[in-house]
Amino acid sequence: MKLLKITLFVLCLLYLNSCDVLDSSSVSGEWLIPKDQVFDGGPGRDGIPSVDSPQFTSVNNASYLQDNDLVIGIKIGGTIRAYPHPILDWHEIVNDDISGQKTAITYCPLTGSAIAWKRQGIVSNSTFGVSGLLYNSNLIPYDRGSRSNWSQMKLQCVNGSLIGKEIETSKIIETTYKTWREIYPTSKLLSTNTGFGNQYGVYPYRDYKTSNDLLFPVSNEDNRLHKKTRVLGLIVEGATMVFPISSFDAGVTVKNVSFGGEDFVIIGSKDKNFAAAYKGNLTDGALLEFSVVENELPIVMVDDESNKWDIFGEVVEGPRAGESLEQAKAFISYWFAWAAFYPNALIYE
Amino acid sequence: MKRFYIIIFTFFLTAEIFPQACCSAGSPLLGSLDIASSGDGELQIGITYEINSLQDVYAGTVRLDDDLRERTVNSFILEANYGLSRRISLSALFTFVNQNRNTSTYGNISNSLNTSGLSDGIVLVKYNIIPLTLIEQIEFTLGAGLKLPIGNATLRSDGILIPADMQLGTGSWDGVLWGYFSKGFVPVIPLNIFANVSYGINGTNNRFGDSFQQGYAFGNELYINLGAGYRTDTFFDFTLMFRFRNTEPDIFDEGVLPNTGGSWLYLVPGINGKISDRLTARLSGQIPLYRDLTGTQLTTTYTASLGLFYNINLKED
Repeated sequence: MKLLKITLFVLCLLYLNSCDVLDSSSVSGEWLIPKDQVFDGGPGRDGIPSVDSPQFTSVNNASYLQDNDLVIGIKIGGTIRAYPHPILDWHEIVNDDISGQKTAITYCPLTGSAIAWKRQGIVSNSTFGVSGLLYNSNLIPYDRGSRSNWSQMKLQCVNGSLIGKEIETSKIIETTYKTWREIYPTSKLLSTNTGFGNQYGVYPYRDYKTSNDLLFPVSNEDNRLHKKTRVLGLIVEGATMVFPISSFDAGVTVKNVSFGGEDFVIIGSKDKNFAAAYKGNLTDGALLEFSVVENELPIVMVDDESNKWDIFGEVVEGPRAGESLEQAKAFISYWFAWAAFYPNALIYE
Repeated sequence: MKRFYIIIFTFFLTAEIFPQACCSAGSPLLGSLDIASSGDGELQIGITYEINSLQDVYAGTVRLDDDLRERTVNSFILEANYGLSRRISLSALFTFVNQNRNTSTYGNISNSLNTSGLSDGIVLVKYNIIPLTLIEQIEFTLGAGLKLPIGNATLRSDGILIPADMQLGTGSWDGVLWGYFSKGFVPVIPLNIFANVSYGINGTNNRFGDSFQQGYAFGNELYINLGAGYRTDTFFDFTLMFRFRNTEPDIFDEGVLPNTGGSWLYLVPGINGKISDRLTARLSGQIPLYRDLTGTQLTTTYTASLGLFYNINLKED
């Protein structure tokens, strides 16, 4: 009997001490996204380490990369750099300084979305880290200056003192490693010498890129496309339209598109696995008609004034040499993520 | 005198399994089914403290140079076994866990998450197919039971749902199958060998709430223990065991989750001290010999445990 009493007493003690949760990371305060749909992905804040002192190597110096591996290319000033997905799969954020422009290259392996944004003006050019939190399976970076949380695919700060602040993006081109080094053979490639001993030749998410499975719930599902179809999504005043990269021609495709009362030029290639969207109007208001240029990459199109435009939307030959198209509010992601963030998106056909 | 032998044998033949926690909801349950069976009227109560330190990061069989994160799981395991008859006994096991996840990357700023509380429990019915006798010294017991989802599986940190492997429980009703065999060689040599198999068939939980219909299930888990115990005439007895553990990957919404599941082989040395006829103490450790993990995972560097076990025969006493 005495033994039974002791046992019951211990069990009561155990029960009374249940459920004490503490977390030093700051997630308190208002959120612009449903907080009950924000999940801790597991590694914890900075458990996935950003690359804060990136080093670069020759674009041809990457034996761990396969030709079809994707890279994120950027061109700012005279600097052209590429950041391989196989490195970003392990780090998700690179805090870089490109021709004096402090930039965060962000990539979410779960939503397949890459976005580069300017760090200027965000609390002393703060670097960004991986918060370890996810919304709709998508990366939530945090800035180390104010420790505010940002939603990558919503393109804004969603929690913290900078809540509501929008991201100012930079033009990027995602394409295959093979295509990139053919187009920009003298460009620089993010080195595997990141300071962390990860295995960059190993994809950490099994068959996730091709399977129809997700790792976390999302707020909206849309089965019009396979979940992992890579689409270029275009946002205009809250309305969205997506362009599956697989719908582009094997060579380069150029589409002049009107959407939401604005004109855009969409470029893409199924085989070379890239797509980008630019505003159709130039800064002087001119609206040009673009047509495709084949087999001259990085040149992809020519306009009715005989200007030749490269993949970054810049004139490289012609009377408007040096001018460029303004980037549209657009980026590539897996279809499931786009459908979760932007329900009822139109699919361009 | 007979009771003394039974107690010694019961302890000696069964002091081989000790708690194990890994990257699944902290609580070291399946590996904590310690006691083979109890004689008629015998009650054995044990309380064990275990520390499980997870600092190693493995990709497959390769250890990565990664010291960014660590986890520590402290567990208190309360177990009770009672022999309803010569062949049938009941086991119940409850755990209290305290687990801490720590990352330190940027500017050596440490970020931690800590959870603690009552974890899941197990109830098991065991049938002694070949009861232990002093002459044959063979025992064969099978058991089946349930893992009870007592621990909270939907803990939130400041409103945000924390990961499944940091929750206190799995949130699912699971089936447990269990088997035990031993053979002793007393008086030729004060040695016995034993084999033990445990298998957990895990159910699905609803950790993401009613807003989402997708369920989460931890992977089924298998333990195979092979070992030997050596009894001395001193205060101490010794055990040495190889433990093989295999877990299938976790499942979310019928899809396999990467970076979950794998195989482990451990060496498990133990030392037992006879404090009195009824009270024994056990000090044990777990040293990983081989690990083959699916994807990349943080895994056990070592575990250590200290337990106290009290035996009494309620029918005779």
